[in-house]
Amino acid sequence: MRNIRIIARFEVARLARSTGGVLFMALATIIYAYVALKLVRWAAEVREATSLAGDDPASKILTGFVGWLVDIEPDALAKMIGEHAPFALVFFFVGLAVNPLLAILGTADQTGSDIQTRHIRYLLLRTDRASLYWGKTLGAVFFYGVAMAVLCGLIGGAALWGGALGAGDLLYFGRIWLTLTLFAVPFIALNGLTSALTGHAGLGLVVTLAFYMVVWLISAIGSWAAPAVASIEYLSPSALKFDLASDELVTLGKAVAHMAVVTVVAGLIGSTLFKRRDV
Amino acid sequence: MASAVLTVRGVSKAYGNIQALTDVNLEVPSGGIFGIVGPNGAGKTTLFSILCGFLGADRGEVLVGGQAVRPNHPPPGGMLTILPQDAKFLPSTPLGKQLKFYAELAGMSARDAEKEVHRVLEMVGLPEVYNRTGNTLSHGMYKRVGIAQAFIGNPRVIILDEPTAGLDPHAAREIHEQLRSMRADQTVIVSSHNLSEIEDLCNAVAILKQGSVVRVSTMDSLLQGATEVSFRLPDPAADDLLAALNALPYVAGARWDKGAGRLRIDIDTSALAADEAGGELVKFFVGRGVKFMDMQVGANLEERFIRETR
Repeated sequence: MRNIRIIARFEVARLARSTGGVLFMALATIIYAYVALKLVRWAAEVREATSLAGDDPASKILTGFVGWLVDIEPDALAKMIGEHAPFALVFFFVGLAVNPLLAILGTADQTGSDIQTRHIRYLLLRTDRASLYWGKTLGAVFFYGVAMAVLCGLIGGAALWGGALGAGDLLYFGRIWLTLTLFAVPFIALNGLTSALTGHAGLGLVVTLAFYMVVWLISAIGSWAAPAVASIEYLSPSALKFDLASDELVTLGKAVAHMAVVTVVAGLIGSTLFKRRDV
Repeated sequence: MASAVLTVRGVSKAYGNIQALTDVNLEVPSGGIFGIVGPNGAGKTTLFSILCGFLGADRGEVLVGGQAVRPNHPPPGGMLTILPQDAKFLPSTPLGKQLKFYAELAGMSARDAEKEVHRVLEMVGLPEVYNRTGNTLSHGMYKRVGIAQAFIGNPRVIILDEPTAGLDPHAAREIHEQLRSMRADQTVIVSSHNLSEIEDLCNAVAILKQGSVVRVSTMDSLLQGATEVSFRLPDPAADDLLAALNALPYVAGARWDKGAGRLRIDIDTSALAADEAGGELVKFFVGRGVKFMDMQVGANLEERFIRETR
């Protein structure tokens, strides 16, 4: 455990200093800043447009459309809209939508470049492979969590200052940060697996993206031919992603359980590969 | 011979159809410097990788400090470190922080690790690189930082794969001095293409050829048992000189080795031991006014190496 802690701490700093880490932060900042700017400007309109107070047909159509986009029942969505600030809610949905890509890009290089450059040979006589693998995984989770904390903090603060959020919404923003961080964990586990499999930072990233896209394509296209094929999407960590925004415990619990299963399976396969492979 | 700190038993390793190591057996005694030499592709780096558990052997076993080593079963902590031939440091992290990380992984507290990093960087003459990144260093400096990391925590066994390759003579000499000043209970295993370096540094040597150990010997016994004395002359030996040498009672034959630029004299050791013959031959040359630059009794490592690996 001591070495896992040391490796995780070092990994956070390594990722933050790396070219990939800097590019990830820049990309995430641009995406979230753009979304936040749009939302601050349109907060009032969003609130008005999604309000159910008027029970007008346009609002119902809009709620139904957004519900279809995020795969949430219109009634449940209407309830969420009534309970949370529109800015926070839309930010949450956008965050869940872009989180897979950001998590994959931000944490792709775990053991990959170490194996590729043989830097790993400086490490493996000083620690065991399991500690190295899990330390790097944990470090990537911390790195992503810190990055999301910075972004959510900045955007939440700006929205508060601009009047798009009230002080009472900050707790919900805390939940958004925690959810986005935890939602990254299965992707980080998947990156760990592909890193160990390929032993190459760039190739690992390509394989993770390819896996994600292939699962999505097969489940989306295959479901037209045979509905059962759609269940392949459960191989992807993002199969139930919008359920993570649900306020219903059962729905939320199922989504968390699915993420946990994907994380454990990817983590165990990845660590087993890493323990056995030549470096 | 001291007890073995590292034992290799029947190790074989293939990469597809290429047999990199074949039934390698080796015992490295505790203390001193042990050399491993061999032509390119002889399997030295593969052997080192298996010793460290980076690669798995197809057959056989490796014991370091009595404990079996294989992938995911590294040697006991603090037992073994390596300067790998082609490993890189992280490009964006200051080297001092990387070395401190290694020291902490080796079990040191943060404060002790910091001290240890400064010690090993001082040892290789590069205290100023603490805050620099690897891509700002010259090849020689990079190599010396690699050597510094191998000495973190004073491990019992240190493997140095081509430690002075690419270093200037001053830097190489500093490394040699450092190796000679090691503690008596430390063992260094060195590979090098510079055979005079191995001959100069090592107590014992193993010669690898095409993945097999063809000879393991202490340096003394490798170079002794000689039946030859050779001299480096400024000019090729004249025929009359060769005739005079061949007439000496303890000389079995004398010839000029054009490739090596040496006069090689086979000694009839039933008449005189080679080292005594060397003394007599020096007197002979001085008496005839023949100039020579050096004398060598027996074959040097390079000559042995060429014979063994031909």
